[in-house]
Amino acid sequence: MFAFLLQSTGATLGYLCVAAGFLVILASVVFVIKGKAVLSDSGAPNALEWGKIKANFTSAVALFVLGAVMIILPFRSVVALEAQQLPTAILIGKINGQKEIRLLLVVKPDYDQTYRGDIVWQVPLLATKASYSIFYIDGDTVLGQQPFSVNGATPGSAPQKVTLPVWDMQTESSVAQEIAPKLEVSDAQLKSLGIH
Amino acid sequence: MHNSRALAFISGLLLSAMLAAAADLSGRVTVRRAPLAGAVITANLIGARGPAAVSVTRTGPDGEYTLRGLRNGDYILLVDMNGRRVYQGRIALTGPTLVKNVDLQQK
Repeated sequence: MFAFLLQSTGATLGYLCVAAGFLVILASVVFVIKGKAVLSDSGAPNALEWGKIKANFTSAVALFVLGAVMIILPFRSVVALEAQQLPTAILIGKINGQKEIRLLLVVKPDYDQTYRGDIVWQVPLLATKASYSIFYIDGDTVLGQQPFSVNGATPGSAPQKVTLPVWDMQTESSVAQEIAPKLEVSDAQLKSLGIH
Repeated sequence: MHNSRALAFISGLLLSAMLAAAADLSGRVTVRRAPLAGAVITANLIGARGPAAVSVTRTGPDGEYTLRGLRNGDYILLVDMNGRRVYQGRIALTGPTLVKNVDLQQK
């Protein structure tokens, strides 16, 4: 029942504003139906009497417009806020070894964090489609880097998962640098086909 | 009038034939089951007189790659990482799709 109290102050005020807007529109319609307010052609103020309450309104249309503005305004604020939120990606990887290695995501502004073992790093994406590079740094020494790319990220979308190759500290180099070539076709065969 | 109809019919046939022959080659490149991102994938179509067409792409963050619109035939598939050849093999593309996964080992 009181769940709305858990919302932020801005959200609560937004809900109240929308509710008030609906009430104002409803009131304007009721006033016109009851004949308490009229859509005046002359533009002269209309006398409004509702029991002990007495007021003058230029037009019931003004009430309607006021209510509409009170409803639309919070929605416009929400849309503007959502547009400001950056899409994110979650980087997942692993470092074998006891040393703590600093991971540096080179963007502007730079993002910098140390990890040992499993890596779960939520980073902001600065463009909907872009290439990034993770730098593996030990002290002041850059051990290597791992490029990755993202695409199709839109504001408000779920974080994209990017799986990084395991960084093996035993050899102090990326696994990708230590790959044993797998040659199912020999170099000589490629040469005979004119492929290099 | 007859000429234009015949031309449209032949164009339709040719288009259908081209679409039917187009094939997709996809797969995943891994090193000890870990994805190898950023590897350069090259598919060389081998013709009677040597290489006939070359298609190139890069593996994504998950090590996955896709080459679309390939002609059916025999291909030499090459995988290069940081300018170093890590895989070279031969594949035959006969259907509309072919999945070729490459799992590599460390030295």
